[in-house]
Amino acid sequence: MKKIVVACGSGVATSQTVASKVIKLLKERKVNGVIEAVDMKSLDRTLKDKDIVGYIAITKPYKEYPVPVFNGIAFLTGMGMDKELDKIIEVLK
Amino acid sequence: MREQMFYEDLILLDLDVRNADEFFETMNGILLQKGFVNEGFLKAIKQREAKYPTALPTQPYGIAIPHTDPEFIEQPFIAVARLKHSAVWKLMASEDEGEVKVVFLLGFKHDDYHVQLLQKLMDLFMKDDFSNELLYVGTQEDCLHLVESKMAI
Repeated sequence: MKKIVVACGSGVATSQTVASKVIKLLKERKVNGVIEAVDMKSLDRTLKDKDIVGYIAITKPYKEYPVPVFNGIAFLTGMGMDKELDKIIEVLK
Repeated sequence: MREQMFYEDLILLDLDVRNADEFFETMNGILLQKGFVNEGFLKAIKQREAKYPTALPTQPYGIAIPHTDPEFIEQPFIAVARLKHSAVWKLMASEDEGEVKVVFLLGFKHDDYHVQLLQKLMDLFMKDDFSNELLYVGTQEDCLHLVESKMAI
């Protein structure tokens, strides 16, 4: 199954919060996909997983990534959230 | 019943700080004295905030959710601070600075319950009524009731 990774400093507080928000929103839209929260140190290794089709950033992206990068802040503030969700659904299809 | 996370004496209304560093120094004094954090906390939270800033450009005002590694937390807590004047704070996932009016300082251990609390808080931040009530609540006790009732804990 296609997967999307969310990363924050510890892989606990913020990334899991964003992950569960996105999971809930995907369920409402009846879209299948796995959202995985990791810490920044594990991000590069996780991105090597062939199933990963996107990265939701809640820290400043410091380089180019091999997959589309989404704005995770939208899921924390609610602003621009629907637009970001549409983009995520597009890559999960 | 779940463990207590909010404490009346960890609610600060109209705290007079100008920026994140001043905020951390003030809070560290309180938290250390009450045994919520250990000696390493101040340095750790400052470094963490510099590397991964936590201010959110929420409406009607900005909110910051600073947190650091569990090893510096002695007793889990969420401290709530409403600032007297909006303070300059670096925005999450950005090089830009924003302004925050309210800070939720998260003293989390690795615990699913804590993550659930943060999820609830984030849902509240998306609702204007909570943000507005927080702005006008008059006493620490009222603020504690407001937060606990909205969080349904």
